[in-house]
Amino acid sequence: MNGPGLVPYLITSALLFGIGVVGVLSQRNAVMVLMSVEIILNAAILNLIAFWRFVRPDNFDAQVFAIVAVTIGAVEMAAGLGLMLLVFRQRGSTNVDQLQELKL
Amino acid sequence: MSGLIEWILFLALSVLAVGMAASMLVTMSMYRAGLALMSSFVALAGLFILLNADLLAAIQVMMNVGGMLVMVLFMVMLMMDPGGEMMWDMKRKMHMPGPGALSMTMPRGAPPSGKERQHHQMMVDMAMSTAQLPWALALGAASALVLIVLVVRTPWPFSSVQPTQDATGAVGTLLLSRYMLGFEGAAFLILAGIAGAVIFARRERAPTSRPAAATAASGTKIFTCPMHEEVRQSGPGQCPLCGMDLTPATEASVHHGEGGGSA
Amino acid sequence: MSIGTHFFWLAPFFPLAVFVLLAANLSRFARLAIMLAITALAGSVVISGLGLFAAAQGARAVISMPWLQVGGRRLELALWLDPLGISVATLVSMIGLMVFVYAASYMADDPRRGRFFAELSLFIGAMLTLVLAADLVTLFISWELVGLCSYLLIGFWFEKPEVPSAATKAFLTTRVGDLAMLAGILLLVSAVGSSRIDAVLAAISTGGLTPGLLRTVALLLFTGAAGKSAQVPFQGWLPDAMVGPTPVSALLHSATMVAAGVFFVARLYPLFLAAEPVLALAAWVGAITALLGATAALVQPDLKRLLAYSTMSQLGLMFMGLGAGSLLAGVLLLLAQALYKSTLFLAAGAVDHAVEGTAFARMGGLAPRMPCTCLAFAVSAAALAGLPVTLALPPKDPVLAAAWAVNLPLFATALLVSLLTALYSAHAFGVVFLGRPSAPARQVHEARAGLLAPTLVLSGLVVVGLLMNAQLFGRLLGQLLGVTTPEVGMVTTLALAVAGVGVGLGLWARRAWPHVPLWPVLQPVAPAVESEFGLIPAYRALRRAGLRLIATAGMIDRRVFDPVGVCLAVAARRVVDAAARVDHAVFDSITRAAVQGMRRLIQATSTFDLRRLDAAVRGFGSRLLGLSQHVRRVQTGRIENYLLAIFVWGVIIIAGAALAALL
Repeated sequence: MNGPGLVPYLITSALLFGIGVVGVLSQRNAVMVLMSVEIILNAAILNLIAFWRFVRPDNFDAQVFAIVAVTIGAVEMAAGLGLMLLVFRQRGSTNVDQLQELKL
Repeated sequence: MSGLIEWILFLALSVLAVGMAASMLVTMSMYRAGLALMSSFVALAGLFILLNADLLAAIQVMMNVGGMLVMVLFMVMLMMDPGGEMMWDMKRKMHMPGPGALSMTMPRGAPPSGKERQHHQMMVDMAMSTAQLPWALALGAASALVLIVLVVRTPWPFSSVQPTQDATGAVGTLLLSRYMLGFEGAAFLILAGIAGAVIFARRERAPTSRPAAATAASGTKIFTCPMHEEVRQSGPGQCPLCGMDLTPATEASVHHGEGGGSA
Repeated sequence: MSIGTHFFWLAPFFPLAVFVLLAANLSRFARLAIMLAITALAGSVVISGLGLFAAAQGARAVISMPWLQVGGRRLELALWLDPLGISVATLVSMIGLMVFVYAASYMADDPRRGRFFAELSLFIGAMLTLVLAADLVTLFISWELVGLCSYLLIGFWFEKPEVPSAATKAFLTTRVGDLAMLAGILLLVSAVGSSRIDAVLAAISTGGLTPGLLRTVALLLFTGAAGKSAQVPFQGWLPDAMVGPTPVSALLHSATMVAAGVFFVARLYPLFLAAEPVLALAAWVGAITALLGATAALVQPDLKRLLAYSTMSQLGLMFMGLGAGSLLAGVLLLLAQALYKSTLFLAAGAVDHAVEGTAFARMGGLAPRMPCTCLAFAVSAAALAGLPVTLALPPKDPVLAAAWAVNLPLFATALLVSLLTALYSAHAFGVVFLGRPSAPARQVHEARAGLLAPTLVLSGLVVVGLLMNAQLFGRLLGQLLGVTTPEVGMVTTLALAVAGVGVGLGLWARRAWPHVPLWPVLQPVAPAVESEFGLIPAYRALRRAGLRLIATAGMIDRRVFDPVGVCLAVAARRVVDAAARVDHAVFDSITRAAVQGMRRLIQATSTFDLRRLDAAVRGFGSRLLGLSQHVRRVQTGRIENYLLAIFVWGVIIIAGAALAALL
């Protein structure tokens, strides 16, 4: 029997992506939102690695891409948390629905 | 390794990853949410190993798991109730059905008048998810569905080439030869991110000290509810909205109050 | 051939050119004007002298200039060189030159003398043109110009009260004659087909004109000549024309202009010969005028008026000569009279300057004080009287001879006129220069050189001219003109006798009554004679009647036509008012109704606009606002909503692309 091919991995990543979307759009706490974004990012990276393994295993460019993506994810987290801190200081709360200044 | 073992491992790890990610949303405790995410990432690392991407698995663990730790720290710092006990208590008291956070949803519709108003307000305050939950669920499901359908239907160009054993070495070589620029760029990006985060997190000294000094000079100690900043009393007591004990107004709260007032 | 033949036309041209120059405001420079005028006239004298020589040798010439094209006929202005014309032209320019020089001195104090000389130049030019005219149109044009100059020159001192009326009288009287002359000329030209004089004379000689037409034309033309030459009934203007400056009297009203009538008849003599009754009429008109003039001259209290009547009388004699059938008689007397009459006038002007007036009462005994003037006057007066001057026969003889040849009454009249002429010329001489001087005459001295020289020159010419006695001169002239001289020996003797008697009587009268200008014996008849036997009052009555007629016409106009006009105006006004009322009633009400209708229409449209359109617009606006309120809800300001939107769109797009790719 063969191991799982490409598709199961992709399905997994699709499910993770869906969960991440739910979290981004429905969580009230900004930190939870950031964590959901991390989920989405990791789903994408899983996708990347799965493609590397099953479509072009001889080309390690995909891994480099994945490394950079992870790096970027980390940096983004840091920036996001910094922003969140500022918001919290301003309002004393991290509730997303309190950020309403974009309303005309 | 044989296919079967692979399959079993794959399924276990997948279920773990997806399940942990889902539970992150369901749980009422922030601390547990962070932990759940961490374990989800570890499962992902396991999947990476299955895919012969050892280096990446290691990186994943170090970076993301570490990141999650930071996240948990933040939560403990910033959240009122990182463990979620308060929520549990409330849930039990008010007999709210449903698993975890999913029961603490934002009430829809206009706030009713009279007694119900207080209850309504409390629900609003406590809700863990916004009013968009149904939409989010729908969208999440839809996007997952769409992706799955696409994935299944697309004829992927499979390659039966076996990856090399020394993937790490190859990647390292690439990083330091062809993608040197990208590598260094990533490093630079990290630096920029650190600097940015530090700048973001800096406290502003001058404007905030005066209002705090004024309040302190006045001698009156203002008590406020940690949940509801708008509730302010000169003496200790209980919050009329949620029943919690009032705590003295901290500099942050005062600052928030000022900031909130001015914003 | 010779200069005279080719350039004879310069004789009138020079003075006319000077006039044009002076008319262009140059008359301001008086000295320049005078010099130009005199120089030009001197040139004319030379040219006409040369022309006379050429004509005497048989040369003939014509120059013409096309002027107008009228009704298919071409009018030309033409001058010609022929014996009669050129001899008169020579005489006229000579006398004119003397008078110009005289006038330069006479008018020396006058501020307008530049203009005077301009007018004089125009006159001389016109006169020379008249004399040299080869066709009737040119002649008539210059005839009229001469009349105009007479008016301008008589009226030169228009500040004096009696002057303007005298000038107007002269002009209008001659005008009446000119009308007749024009009628005659037009008849003649239309009958002959050409206005050229030689063509006319040729037509007459070939008998191309009916006797009736000939007589009518001759009568009309003679009327014009009579007007210009102050014959009865046109004689009234000449004595009054003496109010002009003496040079004017000397030139125009003694020698040249008044002679134009005689000249004209002489020019067209064949025409008159062919119309016998008119010729007889001319002779008798001349006779009556001569008698009238001579008698009036005798009783005049004023020297110039005496000379004027004398001129009138002499002109009558000329017409008598022409009327008696002798061209020579008339022309000879014309030439001689010009000379001695102008001399007399120049001398009279000198006396006028001396005693400051021309009334006889201011004169007397001037002989010792003004000897040269006296001499000139004596010579000319003797010629006028008919005395032989230096053994020459007087020029009146051919006239008498011609009259003798016609019939006795005419001759008797002529003889009587000669007697009277002798009488008054002696009388004039005596009153001015002999006897006891009056108060103003005592302090006078001789005239200055500027006045004296021309006078003496002319008197010299008198002598020279009459030196060629009537026979010799007459023969020469006759050869020139191609006619024979009437000579009757008995007539000459009779004439001399009469002249002697007359002069003697006149001088004796002066001795008898040394200090009165009018002979007492004539005093009873003087008023009647002075009034020209009632002619002057008759004319005045005629004038008054004419004025009254005009006044009556004016009154009729005021009484009759003005009320008619007023009635018409009132009626018109009433019509207009009625029309206005109709307009008010009818059209205004129509307009008002139209305006009302318009207003209602406007109101209806405005209501429609307000209610429907505005409501529609407002409804549209409010609906748009409502729509925007709905759309506005998208802007929640919440990040979560925006994120949701982004994700939804993203999913849709990807799904769409994927589906498209898969399908």
